[in-house]
Amino acid sequence: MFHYKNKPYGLLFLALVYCFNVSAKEPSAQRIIALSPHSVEILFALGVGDRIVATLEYADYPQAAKKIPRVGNFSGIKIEKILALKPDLVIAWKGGNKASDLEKIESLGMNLFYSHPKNVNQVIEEILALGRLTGTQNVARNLAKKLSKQYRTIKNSYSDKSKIKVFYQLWHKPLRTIGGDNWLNSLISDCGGKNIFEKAKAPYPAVSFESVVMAMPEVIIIPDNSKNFTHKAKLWSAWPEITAVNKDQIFSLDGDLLQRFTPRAIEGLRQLCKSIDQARDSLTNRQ
Amino acid sequence: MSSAIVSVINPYHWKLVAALFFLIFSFLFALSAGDVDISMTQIFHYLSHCVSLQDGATSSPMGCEMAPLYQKIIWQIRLPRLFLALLTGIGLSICGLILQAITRNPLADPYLFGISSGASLGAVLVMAFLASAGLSITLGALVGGAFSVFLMLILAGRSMLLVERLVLSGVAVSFMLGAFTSLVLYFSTPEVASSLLFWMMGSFSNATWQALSLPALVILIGFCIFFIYRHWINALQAGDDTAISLGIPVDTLRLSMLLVCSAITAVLVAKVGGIGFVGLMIPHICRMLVGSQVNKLLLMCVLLGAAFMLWVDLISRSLLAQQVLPIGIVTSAVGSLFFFIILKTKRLRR
Repeated sequence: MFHYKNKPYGLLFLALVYCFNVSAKEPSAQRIIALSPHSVEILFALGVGDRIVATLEYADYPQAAKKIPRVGNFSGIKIEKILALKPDLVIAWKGGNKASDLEKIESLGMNLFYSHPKNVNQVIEEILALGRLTGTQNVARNLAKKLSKQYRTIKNSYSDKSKIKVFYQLWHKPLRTIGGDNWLNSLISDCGGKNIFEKAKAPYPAVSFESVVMAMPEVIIIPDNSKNFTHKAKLWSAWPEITAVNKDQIFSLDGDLLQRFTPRAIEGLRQLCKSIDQARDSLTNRQ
Repeated sequence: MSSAIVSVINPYHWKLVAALFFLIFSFLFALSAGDVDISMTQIFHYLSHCVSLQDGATSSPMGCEMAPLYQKIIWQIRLPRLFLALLTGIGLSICGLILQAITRNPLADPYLFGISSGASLGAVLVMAFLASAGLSITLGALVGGAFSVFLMLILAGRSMLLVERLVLSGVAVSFMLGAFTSLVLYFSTPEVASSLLFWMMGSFSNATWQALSLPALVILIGFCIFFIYRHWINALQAGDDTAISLGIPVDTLRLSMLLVCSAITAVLVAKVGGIGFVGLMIPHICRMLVGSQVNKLLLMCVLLGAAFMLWVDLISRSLLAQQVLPIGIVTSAVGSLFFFIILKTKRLRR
């Protein structure tokens, strides 16, 4: 169709198409600062991990993330360093980063994306959003599709089962657990569990030993990033009155899988559900 | 006959008896309150029928009709906790009293002299870096407390005689060691940092019977020492010159009292963390009640300090539903308010 004579027109046409294409979609972010371990993981899952120019401490997955330069930690961010890096996208973690730091970054006119998923569906939404921002829509769409399918499968298989009372022991000294408005709380209910401190207002309340004893949890989940599981489980050995202790339903799970809002959380959810289900079996066996 | 007895029992004794009853009432009330509703009658039943001295929980003695779970909650959770609160109140109050007396400074308390900061730093260092080495927190706190006293004495130099210098060096040491504690906090992981922060604000939640013996022993010894030297301390309150003219070795007395106080504070800090304001406030309240003689103040401080701490503990575990507040927050909040009211009413009466 394209004749030799028409070639200039053809080129013009192609150039026009290209121009329209570029102006139709947002320019994709090339220099990203990810201020949380979970956003780093999501970016790597989208295949754009190499565009991260800086992050905070504790971003340790995947292996390559450990090489990214650090610009602060949970107690503060070096804003001047961020400015010097000239990022075109900053992914902030509402609730995880210092609010005053985020305000400052926002006031400096940087392109800020807030991330704070509270359940698996919101993680999937966030993956899609970050896909748009980084120009990796296709990868994001496929990943989202895969994750929501896995998530639905897990959720459906536990939704009809009996509710199990769960105590999530975030930390042992002081005894700290999770409240109702919380990512982990949503995971627990996805597994057909019921967080015994669901009604607590604080996201991570410190609770008394007595209130745990009285709530009689049927399973105790201990994330193992707080080291030394045997030592913490020993805390309960004096209390065989608690169903979970009596039935030996105390589980140590990978805290990084469970507590990070990433594609890996599906694996964490699967392990959590398995533990809760095991506790469920131990209860029915008795009856 | 009866009038003779009444004349022997002076107002001071009546006040002591009243304080004792207040303490007993506070103890029983605190024992019955908690996440589990246990009524006062049940508490009386427990105390009269269920406590057996050999074994508190595993076997119910004859006549005990309380559910075993409740017995266990009282014996293993509430009683150790209450006794730890009691001991803390006593220890910090008498230390505050003695420090105020020997320095003749109304602001003196274990915090002002950097003893608490030193003990905190020692304990925090052990918790953050040496937890795996199996080093005990108590040892860390003791070393830290001793170190702070040592630093303070070096800073005060040969002019230890001058009370002002002693107080000022104490303040300097306190800030310096506090800065190191913050530094440790800053460099620890979020989990450890949150754990350390909560500990620094004070907590009785990890109380066990075994953990009570050391503070009880140290406080008992400290109290005896204070009681033995009460008249000397009294004389010291009147001024160094008066004390020296009475033949009291002023420097030695001051130094040894300081060391006893730092031992008590360090042991308490190791067990319960940093709890401020009690050591400052209780002696002043006692002074308003029974005058400024150390021999009278000592017993009053024991009773009121203990009772105050029981109430603080009660508030900290019942103010928020399903949550525990750090003790230090409650002590400072309740304490300062209470203190403010007392100061205000006292001024009006004059």
